[in-house]
Amino acid sequence: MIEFAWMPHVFSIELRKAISYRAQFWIRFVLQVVTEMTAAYFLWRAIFDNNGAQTLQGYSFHGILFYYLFSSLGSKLIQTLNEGIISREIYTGTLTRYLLYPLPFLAYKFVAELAKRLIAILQLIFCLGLAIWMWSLPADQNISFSSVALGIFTASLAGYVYFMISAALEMVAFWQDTVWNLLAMVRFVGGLLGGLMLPIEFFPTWGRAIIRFTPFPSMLSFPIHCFLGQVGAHEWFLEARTLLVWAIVTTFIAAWVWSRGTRRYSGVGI
Amino acid sequence: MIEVVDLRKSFRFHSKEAGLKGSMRALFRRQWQTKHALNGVSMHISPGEIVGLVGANGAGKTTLVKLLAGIVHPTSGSARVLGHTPWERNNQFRRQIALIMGQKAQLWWDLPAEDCFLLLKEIYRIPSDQFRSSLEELTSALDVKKQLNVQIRRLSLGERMKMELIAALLHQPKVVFLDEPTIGLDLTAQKAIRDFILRYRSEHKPAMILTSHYMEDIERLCKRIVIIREGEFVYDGPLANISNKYASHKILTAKLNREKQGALGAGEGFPTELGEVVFRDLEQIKIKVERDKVPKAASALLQGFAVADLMIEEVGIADIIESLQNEKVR
Repeated sequence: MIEFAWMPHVFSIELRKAISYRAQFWIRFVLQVVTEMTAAYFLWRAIFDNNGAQTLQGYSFHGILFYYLFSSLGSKLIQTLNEGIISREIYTGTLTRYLLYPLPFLAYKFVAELAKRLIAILQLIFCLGLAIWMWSLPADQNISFSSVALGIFTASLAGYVYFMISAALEMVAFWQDTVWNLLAMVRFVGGLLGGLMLPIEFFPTWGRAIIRFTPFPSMLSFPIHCFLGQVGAHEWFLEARTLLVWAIVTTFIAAWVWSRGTRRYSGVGI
Repeated sequence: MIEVVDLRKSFRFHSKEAGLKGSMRALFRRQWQTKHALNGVSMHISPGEIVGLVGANGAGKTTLVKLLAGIVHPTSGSARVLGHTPWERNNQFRRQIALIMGQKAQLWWDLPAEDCFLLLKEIYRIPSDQFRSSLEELTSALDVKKQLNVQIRRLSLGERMKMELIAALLHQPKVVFLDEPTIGLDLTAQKAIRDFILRYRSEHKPAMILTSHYMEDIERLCKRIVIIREGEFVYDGPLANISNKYASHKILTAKLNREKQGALGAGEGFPTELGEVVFRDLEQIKIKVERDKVPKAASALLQGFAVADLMIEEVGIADIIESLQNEKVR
């Protein structure tokens, strides 16, 4: 039987931990958003100016800025925020505590991650308000209260899948000393194939056909489109179903890796 | 309560030659080694018993503790702790055990101890009344009430260890594994921890397995010890019996009356057939004597020397254990 009583406590503790490192919290947040938005602004300003077009692949310059705003902030709801922690715990032997305590390890880690994602939601709402105040809403997108709510919900579902993929890769540390390259590869390749770096509408048709076989468009690009109000009910249902399938598959994979990995665990470390 | 039968554990790890050449070679071909940490050990521990696990570094003590706590899986053999197979790690089993590792923090470093304890309350589903009374009892006994709101990472080693003990005992486990709980602590902190463990055990009667390199921990806390060498038990029995079983000699120490001894002169030599003189000056003589020759040796000393005081001592338990650990005694 799954027990839930510990979950609010873990959530609350992780939330306090995240907030207690105030300097890191604000520097990381501001630097990331400002850097990414500045790069997107100048890059796309130059592209639109050189091209002379009002829209590219259905995006105005104004619309593309909001795409990158959601890409930067929405990805924080999806991508695991503290990558490397699980592998480090395996490597240093601090995983031992989770083997002793009567609670499911992956559920514990996911609840801890959710606390950080709550902060990401607040940051997103704050930045969105700031962007609307500075630039107003783009006319070519249908951003609304309900589209943002749907985006947050979809991003949370996608975040679960991303977490399970990350956790399974981190647990490779049961066999290998270092897994950082794997995590970096998923973040980079996933970011590219999932449309975080460039909207997938700009990919060639054959490229889009290929990446549909990976979970990344559903996990990363799709929630951004939800935020922008570009997704109808039928399309949302189909993509959500795909995400659900990925959620089940990745949960089984992560649970299997955990079960095999803990058989190899020696509890040694620093 | 704890039943171990022919338990074995081997670890496979890769080794690498030193230097750049070794690193390059390891890129293409790894050299694997196998360490047999436990070579078929068996034991039984009853409820309320406290057993000291003694051995040199790498002998297999911590591996045995980790196996019994369910942290690692064995290569072969079986173990039952409270009726459960530890490495299956079912929640009912985990609610009844505790593992305290002196060398590894298990509490959350960024949190004050009280937050950690509140989280453990939920994890172990400790009723609020029991939690409050346990926390009060443990913090009073260990004198750390004032440190409850300090982040774990800001505590001294001794305070941290006390918090680890509290965290491990809040849910009143029936089996407690203590892996070097006093390591690195100063003498006062060591004594405080030892006193606390003794008191806790007398009040709550859990079964305990203690590993330690400090003989004082073992002598103060354990009536039964298991000496482990290269993954095998070389002694499992009462601590009190270890001298009878392995110490074939006793030490006779005679304090001499200097003036009278001076009049007697340097004295004749002690009869070599009765024992071996290991130290001698004008004030003292120390003789290593076989156990069955002690009365005769004492008599010879009293007759041949100006003895002011005579002591008959067992060889120190620490020395015997050290010998057993290092294969000097069979």
